[in-house]
Amino acid sequence: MGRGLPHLPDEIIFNILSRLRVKPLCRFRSVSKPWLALITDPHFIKSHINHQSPKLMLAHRSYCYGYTLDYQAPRPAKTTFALPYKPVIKILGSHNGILLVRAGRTLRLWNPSIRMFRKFSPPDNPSGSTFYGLGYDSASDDFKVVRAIRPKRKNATSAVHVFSSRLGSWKRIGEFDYQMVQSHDWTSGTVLNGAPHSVVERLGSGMGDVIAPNPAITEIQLPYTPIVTILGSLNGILLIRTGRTLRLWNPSIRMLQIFTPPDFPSGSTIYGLSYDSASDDFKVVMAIRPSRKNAKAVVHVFSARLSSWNRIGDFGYQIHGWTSVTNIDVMENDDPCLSEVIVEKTQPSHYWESGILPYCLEVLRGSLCVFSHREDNVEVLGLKKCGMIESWSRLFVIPYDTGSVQFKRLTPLCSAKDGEVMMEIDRNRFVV
Amino acid sequence: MASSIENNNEKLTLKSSDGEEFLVEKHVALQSTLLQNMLDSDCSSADVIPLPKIDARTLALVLGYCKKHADASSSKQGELNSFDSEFLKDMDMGALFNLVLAANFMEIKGLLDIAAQKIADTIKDKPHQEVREIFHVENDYTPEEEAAVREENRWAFEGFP
Repeated sequence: MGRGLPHLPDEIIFNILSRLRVKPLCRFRSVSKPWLALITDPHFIKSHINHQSPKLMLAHRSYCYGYTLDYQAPRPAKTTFALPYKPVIKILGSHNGILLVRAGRTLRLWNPSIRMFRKFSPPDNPSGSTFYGLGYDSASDDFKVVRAIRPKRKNATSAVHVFSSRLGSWKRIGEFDYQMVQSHDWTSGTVLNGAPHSVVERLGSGMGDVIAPNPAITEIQLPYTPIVTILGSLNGILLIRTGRTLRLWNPSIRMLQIFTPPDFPSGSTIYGLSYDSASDDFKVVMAIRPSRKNAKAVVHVFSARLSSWNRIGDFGYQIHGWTSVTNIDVMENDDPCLSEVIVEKTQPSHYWESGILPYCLEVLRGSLCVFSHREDNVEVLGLKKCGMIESWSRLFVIPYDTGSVQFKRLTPLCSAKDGEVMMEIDRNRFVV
Repeated sequence: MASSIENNNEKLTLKSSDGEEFLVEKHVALQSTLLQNMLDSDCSSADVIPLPKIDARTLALVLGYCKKHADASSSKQGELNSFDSEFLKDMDMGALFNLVLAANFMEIKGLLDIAAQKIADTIKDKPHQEVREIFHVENDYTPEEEAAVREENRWAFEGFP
């Protein structure tokens, strides 16, 4: 077969292989040692990601469903991944197609696409409940697992450890005070999941600089009086409310920016923090949930750079679930107009009823997607062009019966994450 | 010197490895970044540009692709897409390899993309032993090593000998 065919230079072979899907690539690792080295090389992996259509991973307690997200395809292709072990397993987090799972006392970073995982143990077995977050540091190409312990006693402190998949070791980064760990940012894992690395590292370095045994307490008590609510955090910056004052606070350098909400509405308010890397601007989204059912919801956006609020509109619908919406998008997206868009996007959503998180929001390949759970399917809407409401369009619909019977149960926990096909091979690099 | 080409009815002559000459309109030749750079840098003062790595059969295919894309660059993308898939249809591996080499050498990105994709589509369901032959790869695994790598990726070998 190969006889008579010309030899292709490495660059062309590289080009051809980067167009293959994961399965043949895993098979072709057996071709030769140089091919194995090529296929597991980070540079190749990056190139491969650019050639693959993004994948969506829907996680269930015991199964994962992988759907190919193809804008043209009438129906998404489905692959079902069974977890490699039974029976008790908990998915603690996911990032770029890598899952952090716990089975018994063992933790695993698992890449379902290439069926590989890496096993490791928690640094210790503390009393008190634990919280995990998974993050990825693109600078050092390192997946990091954060573990925090919620202490049982009120005045106890909480040790925080970070596991580096590259180094294969845990590092204790410090003690956080009770309040800190109690805050939703930590416990929910949302922020941990989103900007976990930077948050933790920044806080960590902040702590390292301070010699005090319990620096978090010191810092947190310095600028304000008793009642502090942490509304959001991103890249080491916290959004905090004390009374009627809002603060963007950087604990590491102890600087803060104080501002007040544009008005004091009667309904409850929901905040979100977001960062626009293009203009190096932190943005705060404030939405007011009207107290009456048919009232308008007002949304404002604060720009830290301009130090001013901008009212971006009124919306006549329930805006349940916004907290997570803003938090989620905040984590991954650099999009300048994103916060505004999120707000606007909700507009055509007459069927998004209030209740337990009727939809959730994810970033797939840099574009924002909304998962809307309907009667018998999950509809995925995607924003094709930032800032344009019209560009929201239906990407695909996942019928409940595509998966197994239990699919419906996925609705409330819905941990849908961005799983790009090839990151997994990256995983393999540290797996092996 | 470049002006002499422009005066020459905007045409230039390409010569294949087996000595055949092709008269090409300049706007068609510009699909190739290599030729474009040569024209820009005035170094193609010669009347004939030799392409010693590309045989006549392949060059004719390449120029057919370039002509279609140069003439249709402002027209519908859909038409070009169907041209592209028709263009590669039924092409054997040898022709595809020559085409991908030519596209790589002449720096015609669109053609390189579709040819590489076609090759990828062709090999994706082939056993790795056959892929080894196609790309002339020497197997430097010991039987034990090969078995170990295969075992590690066992799931990917379902249905393969």
